[in-house]
Amino acid sequence: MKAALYGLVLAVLVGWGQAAAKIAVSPVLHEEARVQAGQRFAVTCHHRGEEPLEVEASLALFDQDAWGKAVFLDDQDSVARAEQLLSVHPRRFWLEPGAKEVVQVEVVQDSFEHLYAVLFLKPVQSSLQTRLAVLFLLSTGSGEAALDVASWAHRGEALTLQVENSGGSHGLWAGELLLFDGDGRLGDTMQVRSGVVLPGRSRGLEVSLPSWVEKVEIRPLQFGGGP
Amino acid sequence: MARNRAVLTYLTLVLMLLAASTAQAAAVITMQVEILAGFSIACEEDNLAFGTLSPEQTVQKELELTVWSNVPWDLYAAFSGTGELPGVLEVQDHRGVWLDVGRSSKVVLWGQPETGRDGSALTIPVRFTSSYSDAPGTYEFQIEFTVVPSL
Repeated sequence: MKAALYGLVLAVLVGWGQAAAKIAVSPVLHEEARVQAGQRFAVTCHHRGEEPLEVEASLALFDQDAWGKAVFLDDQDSVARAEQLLSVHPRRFWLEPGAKEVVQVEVVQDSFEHLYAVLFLKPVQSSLQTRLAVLFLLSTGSGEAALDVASWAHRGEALTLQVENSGGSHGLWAGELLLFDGDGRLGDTMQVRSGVVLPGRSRGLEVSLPSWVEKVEIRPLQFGGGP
Repeated sequence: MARNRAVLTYLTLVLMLLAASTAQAAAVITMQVEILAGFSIACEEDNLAFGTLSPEQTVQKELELTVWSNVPWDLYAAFSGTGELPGVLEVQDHRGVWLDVGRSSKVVLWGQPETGRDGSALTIPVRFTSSYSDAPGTYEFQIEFTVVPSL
């Protein structure tokens, strides 16, 4: 009886009785060097659902965690910083089924060396809350990435690498693994890419190796460059 | 006479070959298109009811989502709401680890490959654990899923 009094009804995780929203966006990543104030980037939002839908656009910044995944910075200061440097138009708009809207993101101030911002496009009347995140990797200068393998470890059938970017812009590291067997013979080679590493950040990479590999050598193929 | 006929035949053959090659060249049209990186997400379910719970009881449900993307992508989950989330809301990532999404956005799936035309159908386990801190009543809250291009 007492348990019943303490009963807690968790009724709804998502909204009731609203049509499923289905929007598509493209492109989902804008990467541009030597950006200037007034420069615009277009993001197309397409409604693939069956009911009219309102979409909200908002800005924030992003960083990167130790494994290279984007970390959204949507606190008050970060949003204010993004809003100070970029503008979005329109902020809210209605889309009929099958209709498209082009959202313009404009560089208002180019007083930054590099800016890693995110544009969220979110259906306002969605049955489930979903967002699509468009990433902006913008830089005003011609700073270059400086990527290197800071450390690596070979344990059993796994190789873990830590790629570090000490340069002034984002970039990716590419390298070749030389795989040697127990007799010291080169048995195979394997190409690996780090994915984007933001300046001042490092990201881990895990590579699965064949069981016969006893020794690994790493040969960098490329430094710098974008994704 | 015979020589003239041979020359005429030769010239006719050359002309026919030229005409054939011209016709073939004229039929080839170079087309160009740029396909942009794009993605989309959908969930057909309107709601997910956890039902009636006693304090410190855990209930698990599954959410069905579909993602379409022509580039590698990640999926994030977060509690979405202005108020305080009752209890603990967790989402299971693709390693099987339960992530508390009540405090901050968590990466549920990462480094997912391009989905192709049909999209990638996802089953996301979600669980809720009530506590004695939650007053009896009916609670409604939302969880938000974000698709992000993999860096």
